[in-house]
Amino acid sequence: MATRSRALLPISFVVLLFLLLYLGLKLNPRHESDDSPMIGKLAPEFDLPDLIATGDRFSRADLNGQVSLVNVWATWCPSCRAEHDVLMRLAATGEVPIFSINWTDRPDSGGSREAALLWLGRLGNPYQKTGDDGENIAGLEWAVTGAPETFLIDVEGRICNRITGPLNDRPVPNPENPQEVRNNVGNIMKTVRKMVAGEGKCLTQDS
Amino acid sequence: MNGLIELNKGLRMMQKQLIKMVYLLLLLWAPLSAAAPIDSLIFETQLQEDRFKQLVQEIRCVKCQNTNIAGSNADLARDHRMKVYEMMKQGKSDDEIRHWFVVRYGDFVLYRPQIEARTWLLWGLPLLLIPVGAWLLLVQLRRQRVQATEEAPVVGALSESEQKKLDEVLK
Repeated sequence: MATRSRALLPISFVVLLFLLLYLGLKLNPRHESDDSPMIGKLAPEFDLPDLIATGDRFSRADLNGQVSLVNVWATWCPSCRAEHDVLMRLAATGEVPIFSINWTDRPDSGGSREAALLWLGRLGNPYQKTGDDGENIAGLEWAVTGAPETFLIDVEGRICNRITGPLNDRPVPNPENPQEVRNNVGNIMKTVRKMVAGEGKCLTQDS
Repeated sequence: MNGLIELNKGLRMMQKQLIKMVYLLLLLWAPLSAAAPIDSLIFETQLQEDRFKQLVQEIRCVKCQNTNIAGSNADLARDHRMKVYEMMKQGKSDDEIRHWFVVRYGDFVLYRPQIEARTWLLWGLPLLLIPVGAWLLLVQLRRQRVQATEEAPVVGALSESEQKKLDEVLK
């Protein structure tokens, strides 16, 4: 009896260690967008030259008074190309205004302002306004970590959600792919409609 | 006289060995320094340069996530190095610079988590575990001692025939 209880301690210890190992292996080693400390805070101040209308600006003030999306894209980013068609279809519904930041389209990244203008000219322009952030000035304020990235902004200019990676509008996103579910336009629009039906503020966890 | 020459020879040999070792170490170090990206930044003082080097070592590259911004060639890491440099030029303290990163990217951006209310367990657990370990060790040692004194007489007692056999062997 005594020996059995003595063996129990190390065995349970080893079992515990294996449990920890299993949990560690199951955890996603990448830092996900949901953890961003920017969520729930007011969108940062920024003031960028308008990519298309010379002399015009795209700034923080443009985001007040409506629920909107802010999309971050670049011409050197292949998944932005795939996402562009999705954004065109979403813009056609007219349900939510989409703004954008044309991010680090600079020669050393393989892009340029001209390439960005050509892109919108050829593929269509789903955006209300596009800021030219070739030098990653607003990008640093928004804590952009890569393109594409999309922010959901509430009526007060608060960041409700940050969605990294391309948006998709599959009718039924693969439930086993969390990113596909999170980045699904149908799901995002459900949130937007709920917000608009209310006061236009970010939804809290329980609502 | 002979002894002195011998000693001298020995010392010179040792010196050669030492130099070889240093070269070897330098060779091992070379790939590390060669891998670091090069920015041409100008610092006014050596102290500032050291501060910069220390900070970029501590800040994670949010694009690549498994390296710091000192070791990454990603555009974003370069922008972050420039931001650190810029903030240093503005006279910001190390803590202010770290804070700039944490409010944007979260705690994970720092390789060395800060000590605060939420991280006390992370920093404190090892310290808490030391007395626990010491206690376990003490208990174990005491148990062994008790066992040893209990079992001693049994070990010592040989039967007559055993004693005879032992004597035979030891002869």
